Amino acid sequence: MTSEQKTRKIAFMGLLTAAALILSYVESLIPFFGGIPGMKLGLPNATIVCVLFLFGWKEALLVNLVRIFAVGFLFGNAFSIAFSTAGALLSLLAMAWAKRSGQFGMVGVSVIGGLTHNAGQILVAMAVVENVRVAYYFFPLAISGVITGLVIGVISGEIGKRLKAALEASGKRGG
Amino acid sequence: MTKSDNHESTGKAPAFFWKNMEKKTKNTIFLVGILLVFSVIGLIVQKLKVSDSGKVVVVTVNGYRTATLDLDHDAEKIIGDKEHGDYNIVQVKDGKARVSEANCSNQVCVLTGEISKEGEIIACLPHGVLVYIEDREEEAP
Repeated sequence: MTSEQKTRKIAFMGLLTAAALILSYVESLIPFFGGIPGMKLGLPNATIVCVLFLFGWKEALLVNLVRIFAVGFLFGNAFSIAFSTAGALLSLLAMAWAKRSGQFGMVGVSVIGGLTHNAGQILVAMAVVENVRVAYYFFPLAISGVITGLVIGVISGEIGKRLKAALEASGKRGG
Repeated sequence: MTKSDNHESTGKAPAFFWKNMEKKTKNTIFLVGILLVFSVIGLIVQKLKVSDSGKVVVVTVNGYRTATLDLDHDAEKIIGDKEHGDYNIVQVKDGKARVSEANCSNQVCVLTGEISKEGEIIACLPHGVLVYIEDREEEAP
């Protein structure tokens, strides 16, 4: 990788991290619905899926961690950081594996991400309150994770297509 | 149509768009379908399992049962230390339980609202508190 390419990559990742931050903020403005805590759109995951497909899992991990910590310090606390990190790490691991298997495109990977993110949060919640009854939320959160993952996957596909074109175009101009 | 399209050999005749679909798209449709079917069935079974016998509200803090309230009698109980530390106020009214007040960081427990059916929960993760509805028979002696 030449230094121009490297610079381009860093710039793009910075851009995507900023986008992820804004999406996290937008999501925090939406109050949780249906009386089921943890049910959310997963908007920031659109950028994470894009980074995963454009660059790789290491880059996606980096962008995700920067996002979680920045959002945590800006709008949350130590507890919310720990809580989102657990869901994010599990879902990223699952998404990276799903992508590597070659069996799924962006939409499938995003669905797996949505599902495992919610599953991870339930596991952490179980550990925190030390009671398995938290599993009561498993099925509703599985359904919402799959559906939002589907929507976010389609959005990621559209964004990713354009980002890839932009990345290639900026490469042709010679940085 | 290339030779690699081995779905040709399955013999069955699905809708034509299914044949021409990419493998990844098919996998995704399968995945979403299976997951949705299983979770919807799971949710229905969970809802059907609910019995109508007398119920109690149980509060656990870090896994330890700290309070049991009868759902038929209006009551209010402070979990924790309201003056100096973390607290959640559990309120029972008209056969429903809710966390009416808490000094936790995210207020998820308060926002969850009322619960009244067996198995329903209110969780306050910052305080390690779980409030849930249980059958009276299940209650520990």
